[in-house]
Amino acid sequence: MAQTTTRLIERKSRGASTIGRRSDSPRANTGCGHVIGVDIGGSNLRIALADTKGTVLSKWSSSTRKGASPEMAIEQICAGTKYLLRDTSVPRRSLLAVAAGCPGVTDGDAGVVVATSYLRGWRDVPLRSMLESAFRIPAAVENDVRLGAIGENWKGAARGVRDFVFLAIGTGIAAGIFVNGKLMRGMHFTAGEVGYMHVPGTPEQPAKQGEPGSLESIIGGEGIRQQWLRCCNSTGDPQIRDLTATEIFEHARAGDALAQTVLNRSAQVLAYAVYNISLVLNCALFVLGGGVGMSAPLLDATRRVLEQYNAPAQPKLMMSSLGPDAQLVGAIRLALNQAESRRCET
Amino acid sequence: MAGVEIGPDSLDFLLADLNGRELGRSRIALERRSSTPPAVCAQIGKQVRGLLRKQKWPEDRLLGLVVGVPAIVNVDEGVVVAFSALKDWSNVSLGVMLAREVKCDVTVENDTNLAAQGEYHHGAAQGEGNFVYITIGEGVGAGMFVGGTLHRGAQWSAGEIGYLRVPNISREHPAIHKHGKLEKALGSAGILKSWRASSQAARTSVKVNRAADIFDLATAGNARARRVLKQRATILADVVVDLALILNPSVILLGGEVGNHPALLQEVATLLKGSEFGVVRVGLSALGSSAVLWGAIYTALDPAILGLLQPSESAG
Repeated sequence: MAQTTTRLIERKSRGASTIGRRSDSPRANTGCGHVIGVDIGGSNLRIALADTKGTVLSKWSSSTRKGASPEMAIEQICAGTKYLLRDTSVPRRSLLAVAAGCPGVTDGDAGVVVATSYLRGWRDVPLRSMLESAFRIPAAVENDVRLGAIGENWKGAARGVRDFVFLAIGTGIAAGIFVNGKLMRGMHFTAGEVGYMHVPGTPEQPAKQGEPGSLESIIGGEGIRQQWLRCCNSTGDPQIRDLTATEIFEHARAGDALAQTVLNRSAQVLAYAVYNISLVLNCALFVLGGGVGMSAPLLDATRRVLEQYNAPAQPKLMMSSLGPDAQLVGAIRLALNQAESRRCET
Repeated sequence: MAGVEIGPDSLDFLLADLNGRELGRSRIALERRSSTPPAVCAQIGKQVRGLLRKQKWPEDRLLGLVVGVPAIVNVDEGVVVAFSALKDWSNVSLGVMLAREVKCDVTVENDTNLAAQGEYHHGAAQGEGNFVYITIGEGVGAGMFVGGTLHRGAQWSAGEIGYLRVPNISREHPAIHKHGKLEKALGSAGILKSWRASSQAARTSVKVNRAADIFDLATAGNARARRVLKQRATILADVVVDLALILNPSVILLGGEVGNHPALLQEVATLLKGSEFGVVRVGLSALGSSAVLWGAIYTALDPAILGLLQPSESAG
């Protein structure tokens, strides 16, 4: 496996040189330059070009094909970057660094995507060196939810907060945790993989590889949809309405009793998860992000449940202010950090 | 260096030198009702002076006193925020009160945090920068190291896992779950209560004094004791998984009178076998009932506390 990957990188690095040839090293002065932030998701790949202040000049996105290989992702990133540079008339030599976020276990130190269930066949992918070969500039990689936390800490709802949890709820659930102003990664880079947590109301059988975790199976996007379909079936509702989690919660807000049942149950389980994480870490702030996490009715209902608990310390629940851009903003910050640290080295 | 552990029923003392060598130990019983903060402080002062006299040391030879309390503690200010086992112990400036008793620096710290310090410096977590120490005795709590330092939390209450909501509590103890007290089920009182209920139902009685005795019986093959043990292990396994998922530590150590029992560890390890997520090594505390006291000594040995590292003053 490792050998195959190496060979592929070699080939890729030759291929990449046709896209952008660079002879000089990155500009020593990060004051005038640009960085690339990338968010590789299970269904979309998004890229942003930003200046050194972090102002996004232009964005590009494309759908990721099912089973897209790391090499294909690199090709997409190169193509997207080319478009962004043309769109903004930024010269390629102005690029200082690139950073990418991936779903799954990511070793940020080694720059390797260890394992992910969202991208088929991605195992021990040396994404950082692949990016460095393709772009010939410093690169960095990190877990996407941790990038979301970095983004919220830099320009979002947790700006300047040293201790907080960014809880991303979409198809899956994971947390990016800041402790003492630092991102917590854990021993094997799996800190915050809370989608597998056991709380009252979640299945007690441990999840198998490739299946959603017990918490995800209830309050992940698909889990909520399944709850809803079961509710519709059990009440003999004549019209089975196929709705997304967010739509279900909006129906609840509009007064639909069945949707309210699903909302209340989801809020209860989410409150348990938030409560447990806050007991362990004693974190004062939780920022909810992700497609499901950004639902206002869910936030309100969860707050109401949490208020009933007499915890030693009550956590404050907020909605992400960067929304779907949290990861991209985090990637830009990481790229800027990378550019700055390389500048210090030289 | 002196370490003190304030328990609900006793005060434990350990005197050690700068090399961390034990010089003396003592224990005195506490009367719960009369254990007001001033009374406990006076007892600590008297006992520490007694230990020093035994070594034929003047009082000023004591360089640091570190006190562990089973409560949420604001370490910066030496304030015990909340302590449910004893009366009149909310928002007590214990550090200030104790400083009147001894002629040295005083540090007040949560007892489980001290136990984690003890295991880190002197026990089963040496060299582990990311680990969790879970204590299960009368109460349930956790002390954790994140990135090589003790993590205390925004309001000093990190690791208050006695209130965690896990699935098996709600199934087997719906009433307890309502009060949100994991520790009522997992702690020694809950275990003894289950045992008595089970004995009554079976119309037999085997005399036990401590919760750990029931786990001994389970090891010896007593079926009822095994059931009690299994229930606790199931709850604890969920707690371990949740901690592992949140923190991804290298090891989770079990300590305290109930937690440090090998039968419980074995049962938890069996339950965790085969799960693919939240995988973590689980082990026993190496210091057992001395973990808090040794943690206190090693906290006192911290050069910052001793004032040995004040370059700005000495250099100027």
